[in-house]
Amino acid sequence: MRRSKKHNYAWLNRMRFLQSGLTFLALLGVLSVLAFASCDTRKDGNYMPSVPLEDIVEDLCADVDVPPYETVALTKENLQYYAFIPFSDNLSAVAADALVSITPHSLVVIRTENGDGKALAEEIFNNADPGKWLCVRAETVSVAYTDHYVILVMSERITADAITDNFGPLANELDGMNMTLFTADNPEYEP
Amino acid sequence: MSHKTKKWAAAFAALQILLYHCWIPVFGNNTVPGMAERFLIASTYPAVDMFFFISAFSLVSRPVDDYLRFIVNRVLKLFPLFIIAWFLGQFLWFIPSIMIMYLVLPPLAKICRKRPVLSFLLLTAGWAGITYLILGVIRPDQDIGIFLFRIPSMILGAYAVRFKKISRRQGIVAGLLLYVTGMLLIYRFGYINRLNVPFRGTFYLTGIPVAIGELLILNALVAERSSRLIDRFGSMTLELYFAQMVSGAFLVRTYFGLTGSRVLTDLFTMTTVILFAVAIRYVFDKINARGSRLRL
Repeated sequence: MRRSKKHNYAWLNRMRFLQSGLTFLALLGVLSVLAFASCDTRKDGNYMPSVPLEDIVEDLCADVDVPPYETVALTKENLQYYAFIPFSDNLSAVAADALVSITPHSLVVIRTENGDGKALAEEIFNNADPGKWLCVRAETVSVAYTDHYVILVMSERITADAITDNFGPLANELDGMNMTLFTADNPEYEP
Repeated sequence: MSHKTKKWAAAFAALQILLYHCWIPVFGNNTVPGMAERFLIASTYPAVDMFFFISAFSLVSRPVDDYLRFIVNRVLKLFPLFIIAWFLGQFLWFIPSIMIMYLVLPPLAKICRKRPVLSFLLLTAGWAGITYLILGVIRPDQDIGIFLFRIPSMILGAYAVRFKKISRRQGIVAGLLLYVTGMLLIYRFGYINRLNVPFRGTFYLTGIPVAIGELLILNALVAERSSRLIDRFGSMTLELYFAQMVSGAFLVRTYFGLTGSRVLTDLFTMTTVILFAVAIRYVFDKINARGSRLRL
């Protein structure tokens, strides 16, 4: 029996619907792959940040007896003061200094998109001033880094050690590599 | 500068230093009041210059009769607290610094009074030479700049003796000009981007106009006013300095931990430090009184 035109149109509509659905699913699949790919923190070339620096500060200070501090996003105006390096567009940074100047405590977290963490760390370590609080001095200066992250800690030795210890596992999480650490006790500190 | 002005100035300077060390900013750091608050607190370091200026002025304007006795008295007054603080882990740099001034200035006071311009030039040249020698040639690791760049305040204080009196109006105008100029200099060179050339600590010089400006304004406003509270506060600046350096960090941490409130922490910390200073002063007064009775 010959099919009616009505039946033919229904069949065509079903095929078109099926076709649209398959196209939609294909597009969805491609988009999903792209979305997951962009979540990958390691790419050839520049590092793509995904974790807020303020969160990293909290993780670094977890279970550490730090003095009350205030987190400040660093800008072109104040990066040099906190991190002892000139500002650059590829850098983002926060500082978590003690709330009062009588407590010599400073933690700076820097993220560099260029992967030049080592060079930055060396510059910071050579320029860091543990006496920036004028009347008091930090006991020690520690700089730890990976390719894309640098942390500067100026504080009591025990505090600095605890913070850099916390950076160890974080370094693997954030940058897939072990951290390297510079440290220098401040010879002028009298415990 | 009258004796009353000195007491007011000492009290005002001591309060500024206490704020510099122990005040937690109340407003958020991204707000205009917060930024202003942080700058005002950070710009109180010229209060130290005020102390050096007043001390030098006093030493030159009123000659020391018995130099050896004067030095012994100063040592007995200053160094017990210095030694105690040392054992508690705090180096009170201000005490040996002002002691150096007590050693050097009284023998030069007569020349400063008789030949003020010449002594000013010679002292300034001497200061520049010593600063270059220490910071440029010897280059110690220690931060000596915090003292070396306060010497100009002492020299200016010694030189200021030649200015007998200025009118109230002149004092306020000159004071405001110096204060505003100084605050602009501090904002540009002494706040976030500190001037550390040619030597580390050069930025301390920006505090001198502020210190002198504040003194001139105070002198114009309060020269003939007395206050028992101010007198007492202004006479225990050493104890206040000791109290904040030894206990300030601990108090801030404790009170903030207990209250979580910046305002309450500031209130409790300031009050505790002042009471601590009063207690220290009371104890030392008792010791001195007993010592005097024993000598008699």
